[in-house]
Amino acid sequence: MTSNAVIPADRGLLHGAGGAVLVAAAAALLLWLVSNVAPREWHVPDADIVLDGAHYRAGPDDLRWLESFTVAHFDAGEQAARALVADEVRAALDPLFAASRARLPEFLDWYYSLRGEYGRIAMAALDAADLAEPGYVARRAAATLLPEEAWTARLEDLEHAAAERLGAHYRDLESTWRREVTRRLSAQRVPAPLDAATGRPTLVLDDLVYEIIASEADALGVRLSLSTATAGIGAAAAPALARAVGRRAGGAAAGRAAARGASRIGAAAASGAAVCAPGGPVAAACAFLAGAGAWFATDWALLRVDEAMHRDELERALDLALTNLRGELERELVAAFDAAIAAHGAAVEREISRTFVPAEAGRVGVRDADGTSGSNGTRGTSRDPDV
Amino acid sequence: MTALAARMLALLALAAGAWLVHVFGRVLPTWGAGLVVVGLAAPISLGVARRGRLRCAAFRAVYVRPDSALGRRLGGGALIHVRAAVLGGILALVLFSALVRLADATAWAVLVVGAPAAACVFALWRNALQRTVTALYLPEIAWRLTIAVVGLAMAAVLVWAAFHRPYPDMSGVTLERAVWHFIDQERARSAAVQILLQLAGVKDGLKLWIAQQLMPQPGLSAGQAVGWLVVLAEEAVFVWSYLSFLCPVVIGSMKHDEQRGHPG
Repeated sequence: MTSNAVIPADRGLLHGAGGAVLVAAAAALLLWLVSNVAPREWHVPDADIVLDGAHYRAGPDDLRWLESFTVAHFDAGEQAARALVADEVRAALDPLFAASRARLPEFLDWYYSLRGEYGRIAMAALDAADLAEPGYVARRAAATLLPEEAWTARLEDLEHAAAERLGAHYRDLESTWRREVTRRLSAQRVPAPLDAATGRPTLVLDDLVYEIIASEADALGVRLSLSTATAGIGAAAAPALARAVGRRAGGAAAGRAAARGASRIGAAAASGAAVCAPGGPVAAACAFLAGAGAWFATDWALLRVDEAMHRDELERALDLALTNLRGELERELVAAFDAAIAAHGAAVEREISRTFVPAEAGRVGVRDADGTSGSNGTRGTSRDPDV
Repeated sequence: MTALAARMLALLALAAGAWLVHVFGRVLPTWGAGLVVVGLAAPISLGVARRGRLRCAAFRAVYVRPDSALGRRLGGGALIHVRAAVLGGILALVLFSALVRLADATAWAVLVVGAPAAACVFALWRNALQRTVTALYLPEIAWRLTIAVVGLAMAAVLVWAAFHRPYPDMSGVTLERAVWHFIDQERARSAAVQILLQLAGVKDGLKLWIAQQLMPQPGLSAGQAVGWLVVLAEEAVFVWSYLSFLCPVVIGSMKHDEQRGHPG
């Protein structure tokens, strides 16, 4: 009988001290093991994603897609922003320079007028005596063709319009990104965790969006210095126009001035002698008036000849100068906006890289058992209002 | 070494096996986890089958003539084994998930100490009752009393440990978040194991959420009593499955006892 075989042995419970010691040692060893050896944990390489307060669980494939999609999306947005700004600049400069061209006859009328002629002579004399700044004609051309108040107002309008369009563009870019990410991750939505330390890497995309918006504000700050940049362009207008006037009309003007000098003296002398022949004190005044009249008449006639010969050429030169100036201004403005967009793009790229560092940790499953690296990688705090 | 010492060592080995399930349960592949569950189910089924055959033999010895047709049919065969296999499978799954999720060192100390204690208490009951109870039914009654004493003591300590364990605050939390909190903590290499652990997590989430929603006020109340009864029942099922796992070693082979009820 088995029970008979067992019971006598059990009756004395632990007869052998060796057996008791062995059992006690085994129990002690096992107690030590259960108290000191931690169980093996299985690390799942996934991450928590927080977007608009909602929580999503993303695996390595989702994280790879999310990072590449985010980079590509904002890259494409940056390119679109550049094109948008270029359009905006063109749209602003077209009417500005159309108005400048419309004012070309006004400048040419002044240029070929006696007032303009004597103004130039007077300013040249003052310039020679170091009493006036050089470049009177150029300044006059710039003031007539590109009056500062006109282009300043136009560029301010451009700045505001571009800022508005860029703002709308970035908002649209951001909402498109949110929609697509939400759509893609909708199947992986999970309830918010009870505490922030989930032991998983956490990507707070709300923070990413927040940083992108902040970076856009910085970019707008850069754009505010556009006026300063364009002030330099305004200063560049005078030399460009001066070069045009000097190149196209310089030679003719020099010849014309020499011819006028001889003609004026000759005409004045002849007129004075012919008109005031009787002599006496009245004769001197008469001779002066007659000479002056002849001087002005000669100048007027020579200006008309000069205008007839060179006005079209000067107009073409100024038109070309305006075209070149427009091109230069467009390049400068687009470059200023591009710099702001590039700064914004770089900031977005940096922020994306920084945001996806925890995701990198999640992909390779590198995480301490207590989730410390996940905690370190976790950026910001949970924005869940329920938490 | 006495048979009791050998049996206690064997029980400690089983407890060590249970602890290894805890240590490696989450990193096992599905086939490995399946083998472990089978390894847990086998002794449970064996113990249930043995005790079933023993009860059957006792019934036959008392109520049925050995040469009758009913006596020949009540052989304690397939039906007992099928029932034992089903019960063993269910308890093995319960035990597996509980062992893997059992992180409390106190609870593990209870399991380690409970294993040799079961053998001691069983031997004591057996010695105490052998002059009162028939030899055929002695192992069964001794086992039942062992379960009552050791199981109750183990469950009491486990409930005490559960009482002093910190729990997350779920008072202002939706049921979905509460349940998800527990599901989310369960990670395992095997998808099947993960589902099993997550189901256990659902149970914990439901239990704690209901407990904290319905019994937010401290002090004694009927609701709290019900809540703690649920916890006690849960621990009791766990202890029952654990002791069932130890049962075949505790009661030993009873082939001879069974044959006494079925001499033909």
